[in-house]
Amino acid sequence: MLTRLDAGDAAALDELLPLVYDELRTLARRQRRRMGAAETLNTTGLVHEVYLKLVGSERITASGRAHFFALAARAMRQVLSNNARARRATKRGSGLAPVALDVVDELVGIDQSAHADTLVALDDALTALSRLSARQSRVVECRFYAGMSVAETALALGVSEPTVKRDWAVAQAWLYRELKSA
Amino acid sequence: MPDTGGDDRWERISTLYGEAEALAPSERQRFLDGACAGDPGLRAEVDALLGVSGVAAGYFGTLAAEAIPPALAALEEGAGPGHIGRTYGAYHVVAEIGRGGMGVVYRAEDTRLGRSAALKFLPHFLVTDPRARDRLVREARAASRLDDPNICTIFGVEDTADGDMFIAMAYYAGETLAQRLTRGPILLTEALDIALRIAKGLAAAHRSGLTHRDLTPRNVMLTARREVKILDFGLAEAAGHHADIGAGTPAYMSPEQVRGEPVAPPSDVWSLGVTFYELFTGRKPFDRPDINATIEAVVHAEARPLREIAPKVPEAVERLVLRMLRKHPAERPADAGEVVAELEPIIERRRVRKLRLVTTAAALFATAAIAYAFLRPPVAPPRSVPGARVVLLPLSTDTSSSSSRYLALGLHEAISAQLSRFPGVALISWTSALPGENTPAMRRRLARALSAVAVIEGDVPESELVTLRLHDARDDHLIWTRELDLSRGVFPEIGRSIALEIAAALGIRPPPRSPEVLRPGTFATDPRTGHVYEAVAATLNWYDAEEAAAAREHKGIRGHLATITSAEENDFIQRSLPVATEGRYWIGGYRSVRGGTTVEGWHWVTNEPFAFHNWANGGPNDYFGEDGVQFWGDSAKWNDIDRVAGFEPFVGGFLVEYDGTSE
Repeated sequence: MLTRLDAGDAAALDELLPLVYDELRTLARRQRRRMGAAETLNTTGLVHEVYLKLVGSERITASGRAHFFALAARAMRQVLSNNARARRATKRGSGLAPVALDVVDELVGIDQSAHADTLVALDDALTALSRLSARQSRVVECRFYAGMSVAETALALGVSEPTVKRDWAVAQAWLYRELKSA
Repeated sequence: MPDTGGDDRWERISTLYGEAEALAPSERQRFLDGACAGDPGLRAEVDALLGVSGVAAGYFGTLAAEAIPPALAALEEGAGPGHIGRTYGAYHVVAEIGRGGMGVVYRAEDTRLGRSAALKFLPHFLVTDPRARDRLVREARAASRLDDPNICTIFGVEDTADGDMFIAMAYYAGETLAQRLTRGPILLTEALDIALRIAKGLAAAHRSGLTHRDLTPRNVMLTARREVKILDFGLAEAAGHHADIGAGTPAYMSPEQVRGEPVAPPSDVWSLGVTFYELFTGRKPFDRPDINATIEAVVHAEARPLREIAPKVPEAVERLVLRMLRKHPAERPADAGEVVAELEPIIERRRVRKLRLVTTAAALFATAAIAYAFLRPPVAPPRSVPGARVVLLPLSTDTSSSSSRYLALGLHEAISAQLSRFPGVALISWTSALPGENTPAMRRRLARALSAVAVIEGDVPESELVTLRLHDARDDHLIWTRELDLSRGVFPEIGRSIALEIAAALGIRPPPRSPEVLRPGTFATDPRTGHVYEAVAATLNWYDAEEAAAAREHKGIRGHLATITSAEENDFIQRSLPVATEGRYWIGGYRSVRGGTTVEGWHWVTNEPFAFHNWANGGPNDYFGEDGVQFWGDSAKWNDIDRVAGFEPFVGGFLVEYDGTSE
């Protein structure tokens, strides 16, 4: 079903997003049940599971498979950023049941709303970075949002590992300066 | 992968950064001095980046570890302000009724118009996503273009003051086709009707140039008013729109959709075909345990002919469905309109034939009965039944009430199962339609044709107060009548007591207490026991549909074997069944009265009796109550049977009831 995926294909991402979200939610719930509330979720594991659920491994070419991970990372960024934006909007006082969010924060044990601002800022900075280098923003999506290794990222984006390493380092430095100057 | 964007200067900075970082700090200065000669701005930028490289890596490492897992966890909780209890415009949100990847559906009261509505919101995390908002509007637009009684009515799309967005649509009380299918098979006539309505709704979409793209039983609503409504045009696209990828439900997706190729009405026809298949057979043609195998099956496997699974399906329907499931879109009906055009005449033909059958049934049956009794040479001599011929007519029902119909069927079976055991009675259990209205003249005619001495008939109205009547065949004179309150269902005991009363009224002696000899191994196909399965299932359908479905899911349970009426018979069953079934498992429940106390229990008929309470965590009497049928289909207990016994597969089983009357 994903054999026609082409990295950068906005339509593909559009179609993939709800599926990824739906699967993520199901899998996250399952993972959490397996682990108990205190432990953290394994992002890469989730993406791999989503992948296995969504595509038949034999029905997809090696490059199609790689593209899936790039797209899933992209979807992950969108899901998390949108969530952070929604959370922040709520906090900024539309007056909507902030209680529900506090309860979740408490359950998770971390002050989420603090990170919500950061995740939104990061999303904006990453959009700015993509204008300088689309490839570098992709690298960040794979490494940061999907927790993929250098090798996995190289495979997903079709670039060499040294390029991934360098892009990741320089992108982090640039993003860090953007976030701190904001 | 092609680099789709970039900035030459930034690329240069990145390259220098990478080269410099690879060097020892002492060599970096000299390298950059040379590389950035004449461009102090470039040098400054690279220096600034190198200056934060260590701290930046640490920062993002920490951020990823701290922010992402909780954000995922929040997703998992579906965090977001709840809509329940809030009012948006005229809509007061009452309860959540469904949730999927792209939306949460609530039931709301429209305070202005005083009706219920269903509101479909975006999930909270997507509220700010323009693409998701587009999609919601697209869905509303697609569905509202279609004005068809078989498609869910859209009221409108509205924004809330908080930036949320929802589609308001008609709320239908009822269940989805998927839910209905889990409750058990659908009668053929009803299935054909549902199939036609879905096809008509889909045809309306196709006429408007829309492809649904996600037609599944989950998206078909069967309303309490017996309407059919196609839901969820969230994935619908104008035909010829861009190629679509990866959306849908694999077990219902067409091969071209699975491959990510452009999708047109023939793809919907495929999904409709899969839905029909399930509607008529209760099985999904391409469902496999995992998604890879499912996709593989969709692309390569041929669907098993429907009639192998459900022999009653008309041949023409089988042909149509299999054609809808051709791998090549061009070989399928071009759109749902063509399906309607083929299905309608099939249904019409069937209706006409049924009418004709009803009117000729009497003649046919009489001829057959006479031929059997008198004309056939005694090659395999019919087991001569020396008893008095008694006809048990189908009980009149309130045809619009399924509970009345089921109750009538159950009672009919309960009486015939018991009465046929009386050696003095040759029971003719009439189950097909009557040759005419149930009048004295008709009863006399029928009795004459069948050489019967008496006719039993009765009424099962909706109210559950049942009347049974026994007539003398010669003059239709009323010999016996009885009113029964069946508000608690039909149990074998009722059949037995009615049979005893009727026999007494006819002056026929009840069967002796000695055990009826059941030959293990043959009773599964014995018409005397096999048919009881239908009766019990029907009774349970009325009694509790869920219980019936749960029982049926256990394929091995073929039905009610017999009501054992003596200790000897009970011993016989327990001794002989394990031998006869050789490793197949059988289950028996019994109820016996010893010294005035009712004792109920279960035996595995595997030489290993065990007490009922061992697996039910309760006293036996908590459980059976008075009605032997009730426990028969209780899902929790059937599941417990598997669990406690720890055996698989559950090959076969019958309920054996022991009424212990001879103790």
